[in-house]
Amino acid sequence: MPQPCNVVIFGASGDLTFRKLIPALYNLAADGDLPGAANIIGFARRDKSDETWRTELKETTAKCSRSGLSEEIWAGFSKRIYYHVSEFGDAAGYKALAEKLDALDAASGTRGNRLFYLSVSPTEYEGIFNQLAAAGLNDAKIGAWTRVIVEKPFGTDSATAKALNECIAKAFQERDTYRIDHYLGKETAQNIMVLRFANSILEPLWNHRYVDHVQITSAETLGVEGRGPYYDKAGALRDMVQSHLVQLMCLVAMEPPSSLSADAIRDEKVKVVRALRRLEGDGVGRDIVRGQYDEGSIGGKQVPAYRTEERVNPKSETETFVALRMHVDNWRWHGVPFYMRVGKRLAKGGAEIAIQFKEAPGVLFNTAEAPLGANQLVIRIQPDEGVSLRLQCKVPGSTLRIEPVKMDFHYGTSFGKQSPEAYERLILDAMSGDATLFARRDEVEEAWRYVDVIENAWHASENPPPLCPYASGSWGPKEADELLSRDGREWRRM
Amino acid sequence: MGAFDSLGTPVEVSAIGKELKKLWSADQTRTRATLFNFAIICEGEAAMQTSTELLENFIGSHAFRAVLIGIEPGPTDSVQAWINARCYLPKRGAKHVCSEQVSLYVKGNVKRLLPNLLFSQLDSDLPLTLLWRCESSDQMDPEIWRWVDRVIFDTAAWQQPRQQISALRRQLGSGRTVMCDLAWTRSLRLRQALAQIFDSENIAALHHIKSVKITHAPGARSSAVLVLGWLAAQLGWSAHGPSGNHLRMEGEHGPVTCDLSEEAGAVISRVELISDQLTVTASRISGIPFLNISAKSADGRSTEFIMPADGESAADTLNDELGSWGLHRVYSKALTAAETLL
Repeated sequence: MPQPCNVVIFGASGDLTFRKLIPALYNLAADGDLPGAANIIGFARRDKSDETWRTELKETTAKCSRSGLSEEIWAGFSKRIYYHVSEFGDAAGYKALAEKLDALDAASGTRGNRLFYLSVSPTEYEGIFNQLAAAGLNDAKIGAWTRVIVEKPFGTDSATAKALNECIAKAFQERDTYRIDHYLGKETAQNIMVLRFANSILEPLWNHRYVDHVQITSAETLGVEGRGPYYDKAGALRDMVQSHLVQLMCLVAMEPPSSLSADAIRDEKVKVVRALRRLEGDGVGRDIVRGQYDEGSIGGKQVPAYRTEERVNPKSETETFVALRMHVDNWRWHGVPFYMRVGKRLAKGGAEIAIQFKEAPGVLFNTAEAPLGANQLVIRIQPDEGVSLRLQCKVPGSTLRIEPVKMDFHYGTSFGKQSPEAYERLILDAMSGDATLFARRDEVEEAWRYVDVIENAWHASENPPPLCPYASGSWGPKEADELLSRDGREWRRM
Repeated sequence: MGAFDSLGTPVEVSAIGKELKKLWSADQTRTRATLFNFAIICEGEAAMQTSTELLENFIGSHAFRAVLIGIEPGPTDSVQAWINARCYLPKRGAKHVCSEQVSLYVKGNVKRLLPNLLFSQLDSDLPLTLLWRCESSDQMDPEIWRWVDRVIFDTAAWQQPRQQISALRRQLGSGRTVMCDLAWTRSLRLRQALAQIFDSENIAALHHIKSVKITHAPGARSSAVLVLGWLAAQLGWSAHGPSGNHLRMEGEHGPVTCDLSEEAGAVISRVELISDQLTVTASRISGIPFLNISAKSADGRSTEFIMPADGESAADTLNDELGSWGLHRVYSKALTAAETLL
């Protein structure tokens, strides 16, 4: 159960706060899930009043909230929103914040519980943690709790991730640290475990005997959209693979946890990352394709090449697309490749996991003259969250004609209730003290170790693998198709 | 009525997915059904109208997501989009079963714009059938062909079928795309009827055919040529001498004379297969949905019967094609045998 608390958002003027966090909190309030005693305090440098911030937030919440905006609900909700002006490194600002929180505790019954949300650049983290500790805001009062939510990126490599984690650890215990990955808050991502472990027909098939390979795709039609300076330093591998996609892979590949406790689940997830086959020698060139979008057209409109995007280095070698062939070296997944692809400016947006089962034996129906496709279980993460299963079916009629059909389940139409946004679920979990859907320190550091090898081969070797261009609006470079065709496979059509 | 009036609700290209979602969530009495992606690419506004009318004929017999794309090459890029649901009631009191149609009218640098527009509108994980209603396939980006499982075209509608089929084959390369020619589909039932005649009793005569005469309608020469190609490929005949309407082929047991003639009426109104032992005739009067089949043997025995004929409308032919599927290996052989005659 979410408990009464004060939520302090560092980076109150930021885009994430306006587009995601406040609309998420508003929807929780609208659905009656936000504790009656809960306040939201925005912490930022820009000088403005509570009322000004509320007015700004109302405008964007009306646009970004999944349920729209009701004047009545907003009137009650906005009374609980406050703005606190301070530099991130100003000790006096934190002292004033502590006083404000104490006053709110007394006035609204938030019981001393505090949830700090760091929606700022990672360069600000250390200063904020130091100041929180100096003001004693990291220590929970007796009978209360203090937690911190940290947004990705959790470092830029394993060394910086480790340094960041040590910095967090000086102020907060690991059990109070919530590293947020919004992919894990999506309904379908949460459903992966239910699908696997609540359906007895699937688990017996979920291994190298029956699964041919797994594909995980995260495709965007958007480009860098003003995030040029950040993205040009990060790239697709760090921005997406290290975090979101590896997390999804863990949910697909992990062994059944001994319980549904956060640590039991995260223990199993980290084993998957540890079992990822490390790439050696020319392994990066062989198993990883990196690409960068060139100009092209999307939806009938001409779009520019990455290197001509605003605030991007015109000679940038940053990848906007990555395709990987990965192996989980354990008993269950022996010999089963996990293919991942992630990219910007692709033909269609969406994220999904496809479990491709082995083909039916080549007798009776699945013959060389009339090959049938394999069965495929697709878990759609976004948009249109749901699950589909591809089966072969006889077309009615006197002749034997077999065609693939899809059994399709859509969250949007099946339950008559809108799925909550990922941030709603995750904020609520943090308020409830449930860290299941948040990344643990060891998971993050292990994932970075895997990624470091690739980054080093790309940027620190004398003979780096090529950066392959692809037309915007396409499905990525042809080398990514070749990565699968070498194995006699092809990317799923999204 | 404008060419675009029947295409449904105009929408922004970037909002097609969102608008389709709204379309389906607005009415709970409808069930969405999709077994394959059916893309139609045609040239000009008028063709958009005729293509939409063509699609109307398949509601209820094929469940597909239709992506209708009209192209108009030119100097300035622009794209208009529409969405629509096409529904039918399978039985009284049941839910409407509906398929969706996305229509796009693309002007400008079509070759560059098409791949993304098409890929972004496909329903995931379903086969892609493309009805190619343009004169030349030069407007197609090679990337598109890699995605097409079946390409349906009509050599009878092409100005220069031999050159165009050759260009299409070149573009498809060694990919998996199945070529489906409506000019071939138009003779489906005729070929079935002819094949039935040569059962075990008449099979010997089949290998001693000396003469083939085919009468076709104006503009249907390619259907006739493909029937001839079919016979040649199946019976191992090879063409000799100049191509034209009167040609000679060499069969296992000697020469075969082949005559093609044009006459107003059904697509193929008459086929005669003549050997010393047997004369087989399949004839049809336009508008009558049956073929008259007769087999007269040298010893005076005669057999006559009727069989269903091929449909005569564009919708009938396309309906047959969408219903047949398969890898069309027989067509490939017939085409190879007849390509120089097209």
